[in-house]
Amino acid sequence: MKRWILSLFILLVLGLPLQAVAQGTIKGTVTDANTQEPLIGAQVVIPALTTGAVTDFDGMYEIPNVPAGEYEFEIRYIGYRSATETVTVASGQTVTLNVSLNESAINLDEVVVTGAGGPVEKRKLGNSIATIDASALETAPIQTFSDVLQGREPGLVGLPSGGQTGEGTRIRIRGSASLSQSNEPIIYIDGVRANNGGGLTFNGGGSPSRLDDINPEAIERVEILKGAAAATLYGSEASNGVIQIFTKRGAVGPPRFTFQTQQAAIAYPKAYDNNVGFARTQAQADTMARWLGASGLRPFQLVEREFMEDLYETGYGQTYSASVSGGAPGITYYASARWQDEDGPFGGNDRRYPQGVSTLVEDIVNRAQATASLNIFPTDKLQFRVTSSYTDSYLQTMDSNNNIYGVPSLAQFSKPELVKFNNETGTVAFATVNESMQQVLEQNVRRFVGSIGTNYRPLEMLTLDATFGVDFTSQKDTDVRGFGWNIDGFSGSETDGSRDYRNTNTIELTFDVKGTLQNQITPKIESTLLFGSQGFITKEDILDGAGINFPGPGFNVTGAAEIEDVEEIFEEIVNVGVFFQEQVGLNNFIYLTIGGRLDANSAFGSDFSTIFYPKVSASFIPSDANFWRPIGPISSLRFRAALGQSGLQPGAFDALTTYTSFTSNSGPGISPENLGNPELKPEISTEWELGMETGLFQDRLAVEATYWDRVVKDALVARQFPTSGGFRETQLDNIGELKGRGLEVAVNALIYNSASTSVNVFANAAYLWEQVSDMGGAPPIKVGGAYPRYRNYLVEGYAPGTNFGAQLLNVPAGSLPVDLNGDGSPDTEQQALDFLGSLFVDDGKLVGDFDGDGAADVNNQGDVITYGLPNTTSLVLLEPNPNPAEGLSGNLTHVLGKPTPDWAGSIGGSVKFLRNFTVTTLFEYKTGNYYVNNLTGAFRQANPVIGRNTPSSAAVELDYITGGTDGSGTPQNSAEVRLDALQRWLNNELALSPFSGLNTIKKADFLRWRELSLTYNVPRSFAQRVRLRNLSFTVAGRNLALWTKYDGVDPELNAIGRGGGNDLDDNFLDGVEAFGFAIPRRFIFTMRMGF
Amino acid sequence: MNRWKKGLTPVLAALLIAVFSMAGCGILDVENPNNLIEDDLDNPAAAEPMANGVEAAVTRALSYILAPYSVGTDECTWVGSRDAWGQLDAGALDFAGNEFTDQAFPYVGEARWMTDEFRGRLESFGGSESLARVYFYHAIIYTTIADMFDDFVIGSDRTEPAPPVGDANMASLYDTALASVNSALALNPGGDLQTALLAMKARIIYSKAVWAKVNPVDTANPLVNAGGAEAQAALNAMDPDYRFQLITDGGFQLESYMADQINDRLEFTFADTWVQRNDAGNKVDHVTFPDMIDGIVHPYLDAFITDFVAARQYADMTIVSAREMHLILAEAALASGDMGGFTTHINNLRTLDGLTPYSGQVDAQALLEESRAVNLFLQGRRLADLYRFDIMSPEWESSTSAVTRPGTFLPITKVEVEANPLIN
Repeated sequence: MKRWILSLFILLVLGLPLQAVAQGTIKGTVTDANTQEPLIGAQVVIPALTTGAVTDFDGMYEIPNVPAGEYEFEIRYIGYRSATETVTVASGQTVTLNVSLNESAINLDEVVVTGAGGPVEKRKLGNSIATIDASALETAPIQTFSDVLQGREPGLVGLPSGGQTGEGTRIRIRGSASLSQSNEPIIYIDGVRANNGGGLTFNGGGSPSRLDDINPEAIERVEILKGAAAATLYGSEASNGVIQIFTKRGAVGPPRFTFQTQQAAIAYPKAYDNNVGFARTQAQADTMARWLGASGLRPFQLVEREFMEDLYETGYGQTYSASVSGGAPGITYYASARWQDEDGPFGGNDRRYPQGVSTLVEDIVNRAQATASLNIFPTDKLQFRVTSSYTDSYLQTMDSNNNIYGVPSLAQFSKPELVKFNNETGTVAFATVNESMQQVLEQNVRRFVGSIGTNYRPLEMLTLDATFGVDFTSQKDTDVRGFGWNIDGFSGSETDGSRDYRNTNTIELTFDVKGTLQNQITPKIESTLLFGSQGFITKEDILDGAGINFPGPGFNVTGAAEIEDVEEIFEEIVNVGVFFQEQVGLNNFIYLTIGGRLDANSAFGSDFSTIFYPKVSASFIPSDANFWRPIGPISSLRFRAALGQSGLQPGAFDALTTYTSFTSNSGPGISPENLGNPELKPEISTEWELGMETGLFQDRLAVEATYWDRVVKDALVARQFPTSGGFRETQLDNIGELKGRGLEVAVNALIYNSASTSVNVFANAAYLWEQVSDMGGAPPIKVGGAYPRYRNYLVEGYAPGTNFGAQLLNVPAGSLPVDLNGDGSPDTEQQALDFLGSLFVDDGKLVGDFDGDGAADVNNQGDVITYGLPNTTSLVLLEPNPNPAEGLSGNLTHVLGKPTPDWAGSIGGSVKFLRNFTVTTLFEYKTGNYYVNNLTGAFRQANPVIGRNTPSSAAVELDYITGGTDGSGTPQNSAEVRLDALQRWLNNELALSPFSGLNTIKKADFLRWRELSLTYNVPRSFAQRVRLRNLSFTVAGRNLALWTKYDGVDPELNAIGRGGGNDLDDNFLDGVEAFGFAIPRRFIFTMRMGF
Repeated sequence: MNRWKKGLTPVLAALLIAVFSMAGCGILDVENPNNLIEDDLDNPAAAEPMANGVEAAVTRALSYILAPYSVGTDECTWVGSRDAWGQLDAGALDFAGNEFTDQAFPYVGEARWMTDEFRGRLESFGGSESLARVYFYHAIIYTTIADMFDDFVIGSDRTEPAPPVGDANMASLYDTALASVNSALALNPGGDLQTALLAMKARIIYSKAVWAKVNPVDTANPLVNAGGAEAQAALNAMDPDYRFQLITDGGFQLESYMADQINDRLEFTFADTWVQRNDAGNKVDHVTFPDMIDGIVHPYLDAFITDFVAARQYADMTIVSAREMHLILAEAALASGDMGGFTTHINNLRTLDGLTPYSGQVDAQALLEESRAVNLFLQGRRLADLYRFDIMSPEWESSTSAVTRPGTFLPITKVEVEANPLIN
């Protein structure tokens, strides 16, 4: 051991004297070859010395203290073809190297790191890897990291889920690679495994994303591995892909400061159906008239109100950020700070409150973010790096989505005919809207991500690199109802107040040690051998508690409550892996890579020890070969292929048979919890992909296409064993198989470029096909538990999350799928008319006279029998189960579409004009077999208690009850009018259990205008006059318009947001719109300057 | 290629050794302080926690299954948002996909399995009060299943499914329950448990006889004469208004699901037969149901509902009571034509509430029916009484199974049907 340390020390010392040898300086200018304009921020790198510089606002760079010698220089700039120059540096001299770069829509020389083990040009990789360069997004309306990802890359989908202030997106890459484990990609920040969670403990909607803790201004670039073929070296948690975030670094030079401010106005669109209702009696009409301020109302007169829109205001957000970067030879630094503050577009003010009461809840998010990095180069062979970031955020929001105490859900349930003094919107159940605004959800997060690393090249061919990092997140969620929160005396829930809290401390420890051995075996053959080890320890420590019933107002600690509860949960997962990879390059245009990773994991069952994931890939660049002759307009061409595996481990303790505590009146007890499975092992995702990139017309048009195919074997299925066997919970079992394949196409065109004008456009599309190909004999899995309105299932032979539900009985023409007369057969229209003709309105109620005595019929206990729109399966007839063999039972088993579209993508571009103005835009779309469950509509159109308050459903109910009215509102009892209403009811409105899925799951293809911005770059001459390096102003809009045939609020809404449920729900409870806030429009003004 | 492999092998081997040495040093052995594992149950010290766990599980199961059961009767009516309650309220009891029956089924299955599993474990430890308690809970859950379900699955064990008992064989569950009570009594536990066991014995015998009256429904001869001697034996050991209850409490965080739905979530509430609801129609304003003879609000029901509402999510559930013993005895007398006996026993019951003694003012069977409705309110006895006494819940719709097929109880639900290959 001592000898080993001594050797290392000697190697280190041998490297140090290089600092003292003869040195020179290289400087120059990097310009656009076409326009001769300087390129700002171009990288000039000497790979042999791992040093370089970045061009300034004049396109100039300078690299001092370069040891005398001959070097290859690489000059890179986003959107330009890289160049390589050879320069000889003499001692004490300054060499000038001016370089012109050609604009290029394709850049195969771009250097990436993720999944490759070390810096490598994209051209050498057989797998696809996407890069999002933050500098290209400077003018985009981006306020969070979620915005950075949204719509940029084919195959990567951001699922916003809702428009509540602070809400983050869920991320999916190439669909779903697991049936039971999280399908979120894993996240790295500067090589450190990061918390990729999110959620708001006490509400399924409005969930923040922990990714939004990351300061988007501090990001230099994002690299994305889309699946197992590329992510093999990340092992047992990477089959959903990997997103690695690289934060900005300093460059040698004087301090450079930037400052940016954003001012945003935020507004919800008008997206909700009005609340419609009618009085049944004159007394009720009079009450309505009084509290709605509408005089002269009569029974059976439809009245409309906008109870949802009444809660809106114009939101306001502000962001201030600043950074400084620079460095001297041997050391560089970067530091930034950002403050974001938003008071969203929910208002809820000016309500009819009792004296002394006001709206308590607000929609607020504040984020304070700081980032710093330091790179130290004691010698040209040794580097030390330190990165750190800290975030302190605060969120305040309200219950929402499919939550009976949600402000939007109660507003949408509201019925004008029930409005009273202490029920301002006429809610029917649970709480009034005003009461719900007395409940406050809060989240406080403090998060630190830091790493130390070193890179050492003891030999010219050998590079050793080590990174140790930590991501610590402390999250505290609270849900508070103050004493007497039911200010209208309506709600019965916890009326003496309650406080729930959950403190979650999560720590992710990373170590990553690797070596790279590069060897030019022959002039034509190069070899790069990578080997190393990587480990993660994830610990989660949760403390949650609740207190119910405070002794009086003012208390807001659980200890003050009458009923107290506390719970502690501890979870730890350890993953250790070793990996190797050999990459061989032939003639600089063929590259072959093989590698693999061996993993051990604490979550594996006791009968299972380690897993090996192999990979192999190839890249062939004929356009770099000597034999290449351009083919038509093709100027660059590359083909690639990759095959690889990665996995997903089970949950921390899923392998164990466990019993949990369960206390009774007699004392502490135990009950079964987890069935356990000692054979539990990771599911294995095997993916292959074929791809090509081509540049046409001197690389001004780039086309990239990738076809991929994935099979997940030993898929972990959360199998439901018979609950009569004692264990209610599902048990993971490696019995499933999940298949997916897709095509990703991206086109990027540089249409025109001059000093004053340029036009660039892009388009991308991703096709996705998925299927649960094997459930291993397990029964179908319903998402959302027993709750029947969520219709997503995992069923063998169908896409994951496919909706199954009810379908009306197919009947002959002239008949209806109803059995109103109880003869056991579908009624003809005449039979229905006969039935409907016997109904009449009496004292506001629909009654019948089937015995012909001229009076309302009564039952055998003398009570008058009342009627309503038919909503039982004995009256409304359904098609039976079409495929009993598929394991689903009952008649809610008809395929009603899947929540994932066949195609998703984006189109956009940028136009520079008048030299200093730039317009950029981005549209996103989803299309093809894409369905969303409009649960909001289902409740509002069909539920007899809290619904039937949309314009169409209220009209149907009105017509069915009255059979039409005359000019004075008197019911006409027309059987024909009732029949028409019945048909509208059956074909448009009837929904919910036991008709779940019927008239609810709708086509949801959409095109959304996601981003538009106009930027004015103040001319440099003017900026310099005010001592600024640069100055620009941007006005931008986000989520400006939506085009869709979907008839709900917004097809991008979802019942739960990120981390809003268990893993099954987070994965597949998708395409369910349920009482969320619509996605708001944002109008953002940005000023940025550098000095 | 061979040379490459040759060169790579030692590198990979070294890395493998490194990883295994790390694994060997215990880095992969993580702590799980959250739970017990199977081996921990072999410790005799686990006997009492197992009995307590069974008690809690049976309590939870009853609170879950009583909710859809009671909404399906005329005791409760739906006032909330979740329409599956409405289906039960309308009398659609047989829908295997009803979310609330389906939600409750696993809790009942869990409680059944725990009583069998832990009974076996405790028997291996030898006789004890804990074992007697487990026998008692075993009898409670088996009786509940037989009372409330048309069919059930008994005998599944962890991942191994068992076939359904079968509609016609459900009465055998009472025999199993009775055997458990006898086993418990053989341990002579004494005290309150002994009293409860005696009462449970009477209830089981009586319930089995009632089961025969609703399978199929016999409205012509609805009365049963069963369990009388056992009821009298139990009464002899009881305080006048004795009741054995499964307790829920915020202190140990065991909540009554049914109480939560009535008092907190306001999904359903007491039906108009019994109460006047508030203006919003979602809560009780006051109890209205009158005593048949005195015409005043029935004191027991008034007190029961008042206490139930005040308890919020923590209303206790009565399993057996002196009141039920009186009812069993009264019905036995009435069934055998012993009006004197009926009058004695029914008046013993009425005395508890200070009501005027019965002396023929009203029809005896009607009084029995009403007395059962009131004194066994929300105890899971009502549906059988509705069927055998030919009473319609006002909320039942003519097309639903409660009306079209009287004698319909709760089904084996979807979650079990889809997971159990032995169910056709």
